[in-house]
Amino acid sequence: MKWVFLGILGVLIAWSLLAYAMMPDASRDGRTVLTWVSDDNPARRGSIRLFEQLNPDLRLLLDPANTTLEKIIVQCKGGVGGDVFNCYGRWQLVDFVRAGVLQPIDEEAARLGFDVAKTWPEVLDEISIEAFNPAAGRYERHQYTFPLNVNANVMFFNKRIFDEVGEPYPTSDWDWNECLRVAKKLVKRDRHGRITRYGLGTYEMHETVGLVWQFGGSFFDPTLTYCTLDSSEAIEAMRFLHRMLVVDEVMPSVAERNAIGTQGGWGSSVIDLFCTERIAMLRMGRWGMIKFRTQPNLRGNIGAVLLPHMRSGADEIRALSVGINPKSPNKNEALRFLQFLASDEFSWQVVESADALPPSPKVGQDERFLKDAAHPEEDFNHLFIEAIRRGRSNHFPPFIQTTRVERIFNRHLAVMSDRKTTPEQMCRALTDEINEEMRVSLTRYASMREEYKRRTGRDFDPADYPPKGDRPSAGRNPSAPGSRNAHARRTDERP
Amino acid sequence: MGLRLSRRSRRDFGWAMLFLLPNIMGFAVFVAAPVVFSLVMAFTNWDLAQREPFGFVGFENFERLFFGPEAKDFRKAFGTTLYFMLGMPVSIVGSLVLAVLLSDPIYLGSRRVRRLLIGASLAATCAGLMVCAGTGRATTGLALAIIGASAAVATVFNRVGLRTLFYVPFFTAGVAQYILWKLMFRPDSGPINASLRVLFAVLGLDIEPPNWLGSTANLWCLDPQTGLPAAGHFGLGARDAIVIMGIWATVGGNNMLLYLAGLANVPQDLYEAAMIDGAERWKSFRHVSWPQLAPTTFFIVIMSIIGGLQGGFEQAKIMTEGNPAETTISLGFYIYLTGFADFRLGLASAIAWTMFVMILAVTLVQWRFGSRQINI
Repeated sequence: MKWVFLGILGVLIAWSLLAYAMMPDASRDGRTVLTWVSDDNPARRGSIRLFEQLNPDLRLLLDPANTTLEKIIVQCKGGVGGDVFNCYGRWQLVDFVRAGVLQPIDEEAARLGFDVAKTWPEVLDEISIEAFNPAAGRYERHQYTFPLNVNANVMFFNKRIFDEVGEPYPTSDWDWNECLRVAKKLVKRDRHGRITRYGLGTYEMHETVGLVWQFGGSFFDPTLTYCTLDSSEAIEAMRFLHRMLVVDEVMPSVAERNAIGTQGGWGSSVIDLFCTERIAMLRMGRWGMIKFRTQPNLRGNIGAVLLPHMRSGADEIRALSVGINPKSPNKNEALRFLQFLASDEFSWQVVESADALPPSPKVGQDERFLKDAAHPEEDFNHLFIEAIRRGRSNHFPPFIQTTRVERIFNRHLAVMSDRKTTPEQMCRALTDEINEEMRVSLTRYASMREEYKRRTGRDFDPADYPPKGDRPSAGRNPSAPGSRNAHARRTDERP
Repeated sequence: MGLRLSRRSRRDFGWAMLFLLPNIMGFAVFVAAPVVFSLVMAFTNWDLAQREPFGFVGFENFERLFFGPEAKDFRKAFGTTLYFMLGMPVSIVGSLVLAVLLSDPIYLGSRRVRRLLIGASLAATCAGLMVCAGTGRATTGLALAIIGASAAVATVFNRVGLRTLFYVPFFTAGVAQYILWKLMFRPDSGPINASLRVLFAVLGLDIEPPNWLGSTANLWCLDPQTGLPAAGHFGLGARDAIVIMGIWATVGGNNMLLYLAGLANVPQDLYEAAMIDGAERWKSFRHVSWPQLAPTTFFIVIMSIIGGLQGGFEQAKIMTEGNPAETTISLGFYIYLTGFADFRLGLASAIAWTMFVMILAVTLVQWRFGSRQINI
């Protein structure tokens, strides 16, 4: 019997060796393979084609299955991460840098021509971080990524629906009250009173950040040491959100959106709801046009205006950027990919594919983009430039995980959407919970207390946290964009 | 005195070890080593976000879970896990009923009647497919075709066909099931709410069906923020939707097979004696089958508790991402969030080992009492 088993073992070993020998070799044609961890946006294929044309000795492989923050961190730490990976905004950049999975590229970027000066100055904080250098005793800025594209949001609207309800198209000087009035008219119900079309798309945390800014409030104080969502401006913004969500029901809640939206794939859910005309207006960046262009019912029916303002017109802007895994065996090739992202050829490819705004401001402000001859109906490209000028990148404190803030916020938002709390209760409970988490972290970690002192100029005192003396008051929020202190030092160094 | 092996036995032992070696190596590398490693991790502050230098912290992680800042979230996750186990009794009773119904061949009438039934079932299948292809009403057509095909299988293969049909959800890929159920629970266009609307209209009730996966309402009136009972939270919501899906998935699964095996092992002479004593079908079940099935029931209950403590991750990840308002975060999902969203790997390991202790306690109960002859 043992000879039978031995024979089976031998056959299995032989098969394994055969399978190993037959395993497809990614670099079989002699080219070096570079793995790019990125979403499967249709525009990526064009980028890969162009990169391979310009770099015939390299092969770029897309890895769309491992794009989430936790997977990237765990895989890079474990030594099996991609060579380059996408970073979807400052909040991810900070977490990646803290986890030590992003390679600083200052020197190489300056040498190869893709330093911070090569892209929009407004997204400086999306690709670089100011960190405290204890040896030098000062804050120093380091670049970690280069933009793949730059995103600023506008309000897209469906002209056909506006025509159907006899409402004139909105203009860029509108405010939130006007937006709500229009959205109410766009809502459509069936004979049972159930909503079949919403006026506006869903607001989650990142959308609400902009809303709070527009009402003159902010999530955190200028030193990013405590949460200020209980300020009168923030409460006013949340009251307005509550009105849109619960009272007037002009936008679906997150749960409603998930329940009626599609599942999975690039550009699903809220974009699909806009494409199928179940949402009439949608806050989104130019990248939405990738999908809108493929929809026959939307052809010639898309309009766009700037987001409504209130006390301010500011909104969150982001750079989708690409960074290098410090454990990548192909660092030089990875640098060539980032160099490619800074090229005009790539920026024009972004323009053509509608994947948000190009990394190059020169291309982004070129007349050939602003008056796109290939898509004359898209006469709103100048709005994205205006939106970039009005916006800024969003900063979170180093004393709490951004994903944790997002989870806490979305939980409270869901409870408010479910009519279980008022906006005032929500803001106060949310602020208390976030501040409590930061207080626990500050009490626990000495490095955080040092950072707290550097930011505030005083020692951390758990009994006086959040500090009672200098809370922002109504109409005088120091961190509101446009205010005197809006550009106060915002650092997210590794504590 | 040491065990003395003959030369041949020693040689055989060597061969046996050689054959077992690949499996042992796999177990050591992919199971034993990570388990030991996670136990060590549970006593460290290992943090992928590098908020503090790595070090051993003793029982601090466990303290934090029960008395520290994580106590509330841990309690809520444990409460949600228990909530998901609410469907367990229903599922076990359902499995027993199915096993009793399917233990004997089902009489479907004379051969002529059976032929008619098969013909009608196949006709319904064809009609469904034609509706699907011809009118484009895919949902209605497919539903009709599936019902027709299932009826045909049941008629031709009788109880074997039905057992297989009821077992199908158990070996169907979980992700596909969850996406399907997510569509079924859609509040506006899902078939569940569509059926409820028809039912309510027939009954003359002016009630809106539940919002299912979008609602924090629940049968225990638990407040989504605190996890404790409070007024104003009663109703059917996301947690109940997951419980209902769990019942559907498990009622015809392994529990039904265990009960079928248990029923097959009940000595026939006990039934014959009961029949002689004048016991009809219910009394025969009550006084013969049920006591004989007691060890099986005990085993099923214990295994279901163990499964329930471990479960809930895939459902929550795919159907709700732990929402709405984090009401569907089970212990398994909480471990994932702590480890891979908050990056506190040491704390996540401590939660995993706390869960292990709970499961071990349940297993010890089964070990202690499971082998007893329980006859009522």
